[in-house]
Amino acid sequence: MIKEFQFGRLTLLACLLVTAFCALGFRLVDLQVRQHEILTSEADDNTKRSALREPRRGEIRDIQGNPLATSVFVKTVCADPTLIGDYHDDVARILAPLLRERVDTLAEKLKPRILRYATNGEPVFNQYVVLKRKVRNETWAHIKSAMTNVAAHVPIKELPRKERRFYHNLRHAAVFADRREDQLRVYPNGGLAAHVLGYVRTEEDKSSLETRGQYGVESEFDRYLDGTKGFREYERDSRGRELVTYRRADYEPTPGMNVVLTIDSGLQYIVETELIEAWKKHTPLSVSAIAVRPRTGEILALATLPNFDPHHPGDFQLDTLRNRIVADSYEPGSTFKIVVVAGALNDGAVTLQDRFDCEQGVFYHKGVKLRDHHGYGMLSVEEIITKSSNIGSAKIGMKMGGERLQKYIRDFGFGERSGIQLPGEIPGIVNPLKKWSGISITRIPMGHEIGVTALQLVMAMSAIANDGKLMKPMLIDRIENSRGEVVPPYYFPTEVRQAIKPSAARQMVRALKSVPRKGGTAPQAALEHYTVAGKTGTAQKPVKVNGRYRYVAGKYFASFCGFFPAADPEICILVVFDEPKNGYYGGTVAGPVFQRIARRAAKYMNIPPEPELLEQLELTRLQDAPRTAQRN
Amino acid sequence: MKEMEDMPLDERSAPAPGVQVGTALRVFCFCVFIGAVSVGYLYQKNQLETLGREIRAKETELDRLKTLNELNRDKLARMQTHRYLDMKVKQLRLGLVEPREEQILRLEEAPYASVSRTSARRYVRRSAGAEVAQEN
Repeated sequence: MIKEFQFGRLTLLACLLVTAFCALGFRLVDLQVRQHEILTSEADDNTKRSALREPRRGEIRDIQGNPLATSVFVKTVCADPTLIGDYHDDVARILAPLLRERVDTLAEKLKPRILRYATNGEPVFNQYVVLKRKVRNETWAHIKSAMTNVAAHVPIKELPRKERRFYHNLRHAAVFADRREDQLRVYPNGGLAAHVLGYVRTEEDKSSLETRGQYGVESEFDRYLDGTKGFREYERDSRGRELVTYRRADYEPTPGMNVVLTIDSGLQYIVETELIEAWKKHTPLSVSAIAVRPRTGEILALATLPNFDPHHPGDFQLDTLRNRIVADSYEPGSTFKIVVVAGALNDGAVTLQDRFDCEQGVFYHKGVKLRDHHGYGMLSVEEIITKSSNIGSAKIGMKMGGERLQKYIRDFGFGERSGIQLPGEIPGIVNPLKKWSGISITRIPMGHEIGVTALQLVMAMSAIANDGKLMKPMLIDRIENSRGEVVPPYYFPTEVRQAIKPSAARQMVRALKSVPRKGGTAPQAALEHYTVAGKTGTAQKPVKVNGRYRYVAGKYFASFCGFFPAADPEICILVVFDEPKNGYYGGTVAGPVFQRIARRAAKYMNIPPEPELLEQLELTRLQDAPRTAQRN
Repeated sequence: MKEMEDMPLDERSAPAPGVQVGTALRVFCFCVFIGAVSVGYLYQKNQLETLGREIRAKETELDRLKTLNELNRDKLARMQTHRYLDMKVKQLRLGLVEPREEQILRLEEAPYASVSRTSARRYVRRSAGAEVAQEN
């Protein structure tokens, strides 16, 4: 039988238990219901993490598939100065050679500082210092390994727990990589085709570091090169390790598309190395060259000096970054004669055999003198091209009339943007007929009173090489996804218009073939194994003097634009010098550069030599052989 | 059985003394079942954890290999550049020069043409099963 005092004890115990359970229940309700939201968010903050996954930026490749711009993932190396304590000098000494930074600069960054919140002015220790951005993964591995040797002389195991923790943090947590993934844009060829490729810069926000194209193809095709970000939501354990089981969302990033250019890095290299040699000889303000396939309008090489390194565009003057081939216009000089003569031949206003009086080098029109560099008498249209007579071309222009000349200027693509896939293209300057002065009809045929871009000029010459068909310049061959499939938009050779009839174009080619020959203005542009057709240009450069533009002696644009083999053109090349020294004629300054580029390009492109020229050369060699033997 | 038949009726209907075997067996089975389920659950949980760690390790390894691949691709790209090859030719004093025209033996083949127009070109599918174009 239960005694009375036992019953009392039991009742007391029961009451205590009930009270305890009630208290527990209350706490449970308090935690689970009343404080649910606060605690859930706290718990989520402690365990749940979400991370944006950066897509790899697409590559820019040349026509052969060689990468011209590619990306590698890199780290942003950061430090928490509060975990470094008095070891900032030691850490700086270890990191400086790896990060290629000065020791004192790093040591300064690593010193703990007190910052204040901008909002409430509360003091806070600076726990995030960026030591260096864009650090390659292998360097980061070296840094991690080097950091484990900080304070190596300290016997950590003998230290109290608090100090042991400090040294552990110093070695393993004080220097860390930013969680946000970053990419380094790598241009394996350095500055090769820098004006075409452009450059990128990194835009930073709280959750990501984004690589954005700033110029050139990088900027123009940024939306294709830039892939789609991935996303991952996960939980982590107390040590910060990811618990894969609790991944909530995991979306793989989609890599950016690869942009394949029509540029051939081999040809581009040939062009650039020859331009460098020419630069050394003539020290111009700038020199540019562009190589185009006339049949398709594909741009095979496009280079301008001075050049820049797309890895460090900030180290160069703004002027250097400009792609002068599309963004600068200049008075083309005699190379523009191709337009007036081609137009006149197309209209039937003249034939190649028609003769014009070139007035022995001095011709007055509306009381204004027009001069030739040499005095010529009667010249045929073909000879006007060969000798590059200003008076002859002015007379052809006058015979044709301003309206027709204006039409052909437009038909050859001058005065409008060509639509090349590069930023900053300008239309050039073509005045409307009503704005022409009385002497414009004599000046425009010789390439004055007009502003053209180098691209427009080479495309016009390509049109002559291509039976009169003006093609749209083509810089992009295709866009591929990461599996190598071609994706829209598709790029194909596009004919803009038939600028002149094929028969007129063929006559024009015949005339242009005489330029790089003995008696022409550019014998130094001729090739041994191919017939070259081309035209020189030497134009005085207008310079601003006392607020007005005037032609100044000694400042010229010298150019040569030609194509070969003349019968079946494979490549059209334009070389333009801005203010060359040691000579200024297009034929003597730009002609030899054209020749060297063309000779190397022909071998690179495996263009078969013309059999007639090859036979002639063989014959000459055989004839010379006995003489050489006799001499020896 | 024979013993049971010989027993008086009132003795047979009385409850047997001690734990009944059948009930004990059932309880035992139930406990084993609960135990097995619990152990199974823990085992599965452990497996998930182990596999999760394995996945993470493999992902880390994949990332490492991707990085290595990137580095190698970058290195290869640099080594294939004309500038690097030119530099190497000069450095190693190979004395390579461009061939003269008479040194070149030309076989009957197509002249230089852009790769895209001569090699197979695969276009992305516009929609499932519909190839947009195929150029060879």
